[in-house]
Amino acid sequence: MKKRGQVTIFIIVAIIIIAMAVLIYLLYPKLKTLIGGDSNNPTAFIQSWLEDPLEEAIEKISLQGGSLNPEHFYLYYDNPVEYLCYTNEYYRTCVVQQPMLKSHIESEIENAIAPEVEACFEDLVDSFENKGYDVIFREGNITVELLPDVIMITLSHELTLTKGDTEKYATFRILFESNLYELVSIARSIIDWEAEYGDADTSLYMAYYRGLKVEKVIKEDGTTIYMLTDKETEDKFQFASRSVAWPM
Amino acid sequence: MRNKKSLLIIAFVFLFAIFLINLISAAVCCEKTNYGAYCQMEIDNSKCSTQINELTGQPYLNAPTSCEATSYCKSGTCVDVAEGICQENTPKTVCEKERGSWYDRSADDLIQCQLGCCYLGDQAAFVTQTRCKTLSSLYNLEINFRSDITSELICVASANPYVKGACVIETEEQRTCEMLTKEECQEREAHSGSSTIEFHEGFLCSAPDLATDCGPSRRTTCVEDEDEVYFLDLCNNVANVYDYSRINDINYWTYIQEPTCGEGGNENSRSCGNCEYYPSGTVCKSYREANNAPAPFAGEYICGSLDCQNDDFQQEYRRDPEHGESWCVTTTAESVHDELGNFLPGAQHYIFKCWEGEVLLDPCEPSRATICNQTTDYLGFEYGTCELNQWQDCIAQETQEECEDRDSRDCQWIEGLSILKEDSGKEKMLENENGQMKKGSCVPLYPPTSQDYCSAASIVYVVNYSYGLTHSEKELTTNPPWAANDACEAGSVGSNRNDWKKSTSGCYALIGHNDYPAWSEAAADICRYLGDCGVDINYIGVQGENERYMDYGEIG
Repeated sequence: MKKRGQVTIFIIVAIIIIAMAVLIYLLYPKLKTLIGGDSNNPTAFIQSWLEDPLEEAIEKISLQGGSLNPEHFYLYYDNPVEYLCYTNEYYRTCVVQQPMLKSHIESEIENAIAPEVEACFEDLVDSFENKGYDVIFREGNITVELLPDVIMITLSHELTLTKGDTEKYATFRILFESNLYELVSIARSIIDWEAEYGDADTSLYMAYYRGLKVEKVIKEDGTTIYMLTDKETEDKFQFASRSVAWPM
Repeated sequence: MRNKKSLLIIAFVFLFAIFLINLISAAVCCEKTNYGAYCQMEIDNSKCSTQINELTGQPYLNAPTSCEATSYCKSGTCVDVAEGICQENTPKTVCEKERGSWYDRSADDLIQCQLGCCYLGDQAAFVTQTRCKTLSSLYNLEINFRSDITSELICVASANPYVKGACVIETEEQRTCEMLTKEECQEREAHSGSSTIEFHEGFLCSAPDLATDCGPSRRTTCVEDEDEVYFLDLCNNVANVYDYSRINDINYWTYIQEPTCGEGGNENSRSCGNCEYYPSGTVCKSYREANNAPAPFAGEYICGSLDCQNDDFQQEYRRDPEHGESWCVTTTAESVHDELGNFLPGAQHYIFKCWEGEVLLDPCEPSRATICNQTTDYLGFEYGTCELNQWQDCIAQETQEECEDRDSRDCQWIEGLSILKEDSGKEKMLENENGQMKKGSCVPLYPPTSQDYCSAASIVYVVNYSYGLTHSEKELTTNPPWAANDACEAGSVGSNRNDWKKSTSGCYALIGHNDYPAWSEAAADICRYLGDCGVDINYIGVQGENERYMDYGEIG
């Protein structure tokens, strides 16, 4: 009888643990902001909220040649990798397809995180209202800047919190560690080579930029997939090019 | 008669010219294709996009001319004005789509694209003036741009790292020290409060004369962006490069100075940390992480090798590949060539390169338009490069000498069968290296993957038959299964080789038929030299199939 009671208790405990795990899984992003971010510090709250979606967006954009939804791409292991330089002809150098890669990626990141920023501010406003603050919120612009070693996101959203004293925030600045700036600069230089000569020497780039790994795969149709990896951070950027292709 | 001939030639040239003009004019430059690429030449405008160009509000354009001749796809320089970045070889429409400024000139001719040396603190970058402004403002530095420096190497070399020295900080409790630049030390002084701060340029914190608590130690460290192993003082300041022979040398612990120990990378040296990234391929590493490295006499760090480990290389050269070394490999080492050394269908050349301890793969063209060429320098260092495969005019060569002229082409000479024919259709005799006229063929040394030249290897096996009561001879040049019945009386000859052999009367082959198996093999080999032709085992070991060929195979 005693044993049967013990088994029942174990089953109940197991059910509670599973239920808690499911709840944590479902509420994870909100829970993370409550636990990880300082809910009284709006910037920390936003930083914590945006970290995961931002990382996801950056990874996706980086592996797809700089675009969220590439229009002209090579499907490499089910991943659409955008052509940054392309010619459909044989023996000819490619035509640059994305001359302003840095600005383009910045605007793609802006587009990717815009819905997340909106959801984040909704949560932030709710959070302060629940704490008894009067909240005035005015939506602003999102600006993304790729900088050396970091991606800076400036949100010109205005937030006024009043609970006795008034705190006013006109901009929020979020920093996200990433070497995308460096990788994009190198990708741009490789595109230059591809458009001028047709094939970039990977050793040259690795010799020049220590800690950088440049790999390339040539597909049967003459497409080259370039993969740039920062060996320390393992940040990656890959893109496709078709230049001076040879018929099979 | 002569006039007629001339007229015919003129007519032919005229028709050919019209054909060419039609061919050229049929090509269309699409501003955008319906598969999303910009400024591509297409055979006709069916692949040109009919979408509306957001910039112009008009449909994307196309014109029956080369893209360079159009206003919208002409190549020029695209300038990102805000960033100061210039991208050459960019079509106008692509640049304007991204809101860039397009110029019909090369970057060298544009002032805003002129590169110069931008000094950022103690570093330098070879960029445009606008980019320099952006970078300087990012680091809160005043712009320092020199347009007279026109070489990146000179620019980087001219970066003048701020001179460091010992910044001695004296408080009531202690007299300590940090290795800083003069500017950093002065800034520290400005915010020092009650402590006294003095800067000693070129001195180490461990200098006995400075009487700080940062004396010499036996500890060492690696420094970010530096190759060498450095001594640490008691306050964890980086001192000079690790040199065990000078561990007790007061002078070496007093002044900042260049290392004097060892040369050539000092791989796994227990006493010298003067590593060299290039060409020796050593950098500072913990001796525990380095391969079979001994513990240094002091500290944890040694000059560890960046060399790689590769079994195939080791087997061939009896050593490991060094950092920077590269060598040729094929798709899979064991199956890429058949027993004759030919490429198997699908096989391709690659370069393996050893880089910072890792073996990386660099492919040559899958079509074998480039093939790997490996050379060895006087130090025994291997270099692999993908070079152009010049096989295109092999077949046309009529002498062995011309065929094997490696400066002009990548071909090989094979004697026994000729793929070149006389006007009569008979195999052409070619001149071998001894000046003798022999049956022979000049074929690619590295066959392309293309099957366009397979038909060139179509050689007819000639059998002389005796037939009829008069035993007249007839040369049959038909392909198997043998159409001997056409020449011989019906029913008097069998339809395969064995039957002719047995035949003692009626129609029988005079010569050659016994050579057929060997001839067939040789002809098949020529086929393989010309490309991925015929039936073969591919590079992953799978046998190909071709019904027609297999039927012949039963006979041959």
